[in-house]
Amino acid sequence: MFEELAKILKDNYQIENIELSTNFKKDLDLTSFDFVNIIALIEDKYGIEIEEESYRSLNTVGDLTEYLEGRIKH
Amino acid sequence: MLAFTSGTTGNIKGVMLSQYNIVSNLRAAIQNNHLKTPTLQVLPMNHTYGFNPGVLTPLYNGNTVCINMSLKELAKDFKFYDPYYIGVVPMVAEGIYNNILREAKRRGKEKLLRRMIALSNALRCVKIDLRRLFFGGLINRRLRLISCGGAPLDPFYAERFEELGIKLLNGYGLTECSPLVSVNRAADNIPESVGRVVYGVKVKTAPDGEILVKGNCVMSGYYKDEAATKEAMSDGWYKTGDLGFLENDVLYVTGRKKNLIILENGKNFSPELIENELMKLPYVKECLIVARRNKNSSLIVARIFTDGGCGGIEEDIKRINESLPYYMRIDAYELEDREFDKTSTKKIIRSNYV
Repeated sequence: MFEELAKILKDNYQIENIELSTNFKKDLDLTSFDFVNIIALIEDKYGIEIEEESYRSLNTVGDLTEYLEGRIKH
Repeated sequence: MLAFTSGTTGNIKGVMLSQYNIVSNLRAAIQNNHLKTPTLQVLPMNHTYGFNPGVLTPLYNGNTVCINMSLKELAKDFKFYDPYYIGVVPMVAEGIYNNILREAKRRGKEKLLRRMIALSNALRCVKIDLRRLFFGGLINRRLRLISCGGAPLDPFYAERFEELGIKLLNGYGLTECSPLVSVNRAADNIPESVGRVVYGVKVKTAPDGEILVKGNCVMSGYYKDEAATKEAMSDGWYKTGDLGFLENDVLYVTGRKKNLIILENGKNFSPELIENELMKLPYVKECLIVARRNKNSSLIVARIFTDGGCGGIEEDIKRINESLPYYMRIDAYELEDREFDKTSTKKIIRSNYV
């Protein structure tokens, strides 16, 4: 899942060298608009919907990876 | 209407806007640009910018208002509703433009896009305008105007949208002014400015450069807060807390006198709200909340001077963050090795640390 996420970030935002601890805002300088766009890409790719309430806890690549691993299994 | 804002400082206050305030501002708003149907409404409707110019103005003007339910759907909504104009904040305007570039890069068409922009610019020098032909479908077919407010706009983006045949019109307003004070006109767009003052509103500057507003749009006062209302007015003029000047009837905003953090998404708040929470921690002697602007986003940084012990500070900050709205959350903290500079009346000189 981490690799797939890394690919989405690389293909769409030219972001490389990320780690689980990479923070979207602090390390990648992504605005909340960019973040929402990334969520939209993920939703389209996996056919899921991520509730806005969940965004609060998705601050790092690791948070998002963990969240998606939980969602995609089901 | 009762709209909430921090004003120029301190706790959130309720701004009382009468029907006269609102309607006169709507009538003033439609006089600046030719607003054709439909519009796409993107901003939160619990703020005057999202609701008054965002929904009421187009309805008053007879335009259809299409409501975007989430920024996630923005690109799809543009294609589906095909709006003629939208109202946004700088973060969204920049985001839309950056998305165009990103999409072009992803499709391997970035060089082509740049060449077409260069060609179009060259042709415009000889009065040939092919922008609609070249760039007509990039966002949607009909989009011509984007009005932008809520936070300072980098004129760079106005120039970029102009190259694509879209006018990005910077404006200025405050909740206390219903909210529109000034806006640029498509026929005369000056991106470094916040445009011309709208009908029925008068603007002047105080000796220290503070922008003062008078007119139909100025609020009736803060709800149940006479002291704050009195504090905000000076001789019948509303004190905006912003610094600027008028030149040839065009308004420029140069800075901020008020102690407010304004983010690129238009959200604003008084740093004291968070500082007060931090001061409740026993080991915090002094603190300052500052916003550090990166290229795209702002980080909210807590600069803290402790009494030496600060064990558990990360847990404490996490706990405080949980009680705050998402846009006010502390992103990082820094421990200061000495006290903050203060005035003779023992107030921290904030400007030294911003």
